[in-house]
Amino acid sequence: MEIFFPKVVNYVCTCGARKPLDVLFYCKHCFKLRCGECVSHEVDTHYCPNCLEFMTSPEARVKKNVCTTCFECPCCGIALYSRGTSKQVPSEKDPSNMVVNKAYYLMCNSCKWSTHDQSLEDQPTQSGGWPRLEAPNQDRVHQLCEYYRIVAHQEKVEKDKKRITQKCGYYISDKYGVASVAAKKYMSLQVTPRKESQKVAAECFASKASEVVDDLPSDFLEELNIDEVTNIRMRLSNPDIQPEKMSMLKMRNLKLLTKKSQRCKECGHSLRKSEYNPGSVKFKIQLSAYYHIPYVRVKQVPNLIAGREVTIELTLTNPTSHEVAVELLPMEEANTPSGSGLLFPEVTCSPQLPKGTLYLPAKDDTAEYDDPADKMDDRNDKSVVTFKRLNKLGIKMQITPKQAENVAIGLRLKHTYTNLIIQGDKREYEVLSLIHPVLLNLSHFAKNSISA
Amino acid sequence: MSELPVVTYDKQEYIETASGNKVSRKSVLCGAHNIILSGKTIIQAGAIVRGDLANVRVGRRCVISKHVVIRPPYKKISKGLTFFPQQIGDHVFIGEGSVISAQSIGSYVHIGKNCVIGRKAVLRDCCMIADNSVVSPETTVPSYAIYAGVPARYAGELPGPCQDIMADYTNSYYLNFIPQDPMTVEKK
Repeated sequence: MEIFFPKVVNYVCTCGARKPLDVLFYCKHCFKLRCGECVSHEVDTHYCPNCLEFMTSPEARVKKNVCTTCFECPCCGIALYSRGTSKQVPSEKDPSNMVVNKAYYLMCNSCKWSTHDQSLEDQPTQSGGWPRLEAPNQDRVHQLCEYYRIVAHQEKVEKDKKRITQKCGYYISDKYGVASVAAKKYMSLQVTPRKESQKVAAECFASKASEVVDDLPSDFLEELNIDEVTNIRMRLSNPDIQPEKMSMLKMRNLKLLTKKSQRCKECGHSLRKSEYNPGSVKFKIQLSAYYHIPYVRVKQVPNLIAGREVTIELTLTNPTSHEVAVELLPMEEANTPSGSGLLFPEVTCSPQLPKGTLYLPAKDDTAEYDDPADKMDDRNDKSVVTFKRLNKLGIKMQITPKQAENVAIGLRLKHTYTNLIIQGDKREYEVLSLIHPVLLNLSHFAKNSISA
Repeated sequence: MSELPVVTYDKQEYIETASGNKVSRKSVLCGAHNIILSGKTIIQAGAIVRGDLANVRVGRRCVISKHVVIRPPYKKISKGLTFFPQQIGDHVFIGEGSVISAQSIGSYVHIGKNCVIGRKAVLRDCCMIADNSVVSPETTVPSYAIYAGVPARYAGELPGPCQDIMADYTNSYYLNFIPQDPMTVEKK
């Protein structure tokens, strides 16, 4: 998990959340970092994790968000697989002759639960044909849904009527075509729900609270066979039946997963849009911060002892195809009126940051295939830079921890960002300066240091 | 993420091929003519690759850690067993002590330590199997999914740049996997 969700280096999102760079987005229209909580998520496609069949949201809603062909094991929750058996049965045409009949059943490859345990008959085809599990309270749930739909409609009608009567105190000129829109809106309020749903809702009755609860079965503890009783997970994964015994377990259709796209809440631009096909790992739009903001990593931290000055080594990686100039600024200034107003109580130690600008070379995708000689950039301070490899730069700094545990340092990463502006055929680059607070938690290294 | 530490190895122990593969002499490659390593792949000590059962194809820049067993999947037929060829994509990391019997593993896949990938399982591109998980046979693991537990179930979603994170991880693993200086060995 440490690879994809690192805990050592956290960037501070515009909303103040501390998140690793991998999960942050960078909105190149607002020039700000966005985390999962400050973007809006939209579901693009639903897909089955087993057969990878994908469908749109309305289709998934009709199918109740489950795959129609795949089933999950009621014991362990993984997909069931089809097994073939052949049986010798008397032929339909000539009962004296025996023919081989192929039949299929479903089995779990982990716990060996099979459709035979549910006493379902084998199917003649390899996939499909299995009965769909009907919930015992399905009619009641349907009634309630219809009832509340009508209640919601009535509430909306009353709310909108009030609004329209308040606003329509004056004459709407049809000069701008507003009158027709208002009329349409008014007409839509007159629409009553379908007669069928009204009929269903009319039968709806209020549920009654009861103090009487069924007693525990008499043999609850006496004749307990642990192999025949289901566990909590099995019961909760099937909420409408809640089977208590293994013999009551029933297979369910496999639940669908979703592919989501993200959108900036402030400017409304798309930040990430994946391809509809679940087999594809590509994105149509990918504005992850990982591809735009310099990446800070911890390379080496010696043993941290309270009060003793030590040198730590960090690396900076430039993910963009333009050169980036980086400055490391202390955290304190952020609390001044001109700063972002964010507070960082977790910072327990202030580092002696290298002064001056560091220049990170652009990322070169072809560099993987040859071994270019890495020359030091003369503009970089040689007393600070420890090494340079392609678009990566190693830097060192001194810290004096006040305590041996919970050592966290903070810094503000000021870097240039080259933004491409396309106007017609014109392509222009503008260089912006961005600042992101970065928090480094060194307590992971406090006891055992990494040997380089 | 912190930078990967430098891992040194004894130069005598590893064979480096022309395409940059580094294979430990302490690993067991059965049926070597059936094993294809596409380049810059590391096979560490104690790993077993059963090329004698069927063809095994491993992509570029993969890491096969210590004591990993790679064993082509089989299927029972009326006359016994048949083995199927096994494919592993590029930039795949397999943690220590895992047993891999998958039919195919896509690219940019991270498999943790002590996992068992059951026979004929299909791991799509960009997915992750957490440490100590058992992926039951014939399971499909979709892209950007994290599977964990025994048996392995869907446990979460990977971040969007997972492809580049994995590529960067295996690249820096290869760069930091360097032979020990013979001088320092002598001194010791």
